[in-house]
Amino acid sequence: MALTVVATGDTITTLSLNQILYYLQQPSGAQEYGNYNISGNCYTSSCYLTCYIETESRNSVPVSAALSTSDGQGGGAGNPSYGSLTMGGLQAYSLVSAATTNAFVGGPHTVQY
Amino acid sequence: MGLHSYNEETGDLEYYCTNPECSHHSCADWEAFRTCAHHDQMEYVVVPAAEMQQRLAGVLPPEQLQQLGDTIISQQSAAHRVSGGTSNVHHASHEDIKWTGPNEVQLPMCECGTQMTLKVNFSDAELNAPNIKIVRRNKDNPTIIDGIDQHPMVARHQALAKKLEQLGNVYRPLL
Repeated sequence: MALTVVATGDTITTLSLNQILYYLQQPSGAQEYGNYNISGNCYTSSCYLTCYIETESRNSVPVSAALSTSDGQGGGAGNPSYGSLTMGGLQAYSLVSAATTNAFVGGPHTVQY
Repeated sequence: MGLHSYNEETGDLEYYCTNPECSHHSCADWEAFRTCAHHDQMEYVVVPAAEMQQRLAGVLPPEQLQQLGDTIISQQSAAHRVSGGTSNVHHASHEDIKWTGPNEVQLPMCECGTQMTLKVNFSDAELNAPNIKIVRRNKDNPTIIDGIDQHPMVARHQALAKKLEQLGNVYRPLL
C-alpha cells in the first residue's frame, strides 16, 4: 500500500504518522510484501539453496508467510519453503534435485502479521 | 495470510491465497482486523465540517472548533477489495502439511503455485510482540483501554500444531 505524503497545510491525523510507524512495526492483521529470488549451483543432487528475506518491519512477529514461483523456476529447483519465521525476517529455501550450474526459483512473497 | 479458521473438533483448516490474481484470493471476506497488501489503498476523503468538529471536540478550544470547515484527510480504504473467491479447505491429516522448521508448518500449495507457511510455536518474547499482544481500546473513547487480547491466529496455529503432533506429524530436522 502506497504511503501518503503530508504537504504543507494538510490536516495531519494519527494515520498520517502511523503509516510510517506501521511500516517499521506492522500492526496485527497487516501484510508486507516484496520479491525473493533463490539461485545457485549444486555440485550434487539434493542440495539446498537458501536466501534470507529481511522484512522492513522490525519488532512485529510474522504469523505466516506465503511465496509464489511466478518469476520463474528451473534448473531442478524444487518448490520453495519457509523456515525461521521470526521478527526481522525469514529464510526461504529450495531443494535442488540434481547437480546443476543454474538452479533458480523466485517470485513475490507476502508476510502476514 | 495465516489460517482463516481451524476447527479443533473436526481438524478442518481453511485459508485464503495471498496471490491477488488467484481465484482463492477473496480479501473482502477476511476478518475485520486484517488488511490486504494488494487491494487496500490510502485515499483522500472530505470530512464535513460538522463531523470534523465532532471528532475534535474536547481537543480544540470552542472558538477554534467553530473555525473548522470541510477538511480533506487521507485514510486507509478497503473499498477495492475483491470477493467471490473460495478458500482452501483441507484436513489436518493432509499429506502435504509438513514441518519446515521447529516452529513452522507448511500448508498444501494453492493451485496457483503459492505456498503458505504458518508459524505455530511462539516464544514468550514473541507473544509479547506489539502485533501479537493487541490493545483493545474503547470505541467511544479511544484513550481508555478496555483490555488486552492475543492475535487470533496464534491460538489457531498452536491448535493445529497440537493436532499434528497427535497425528504423528512432528518436526524432523533435515540433516
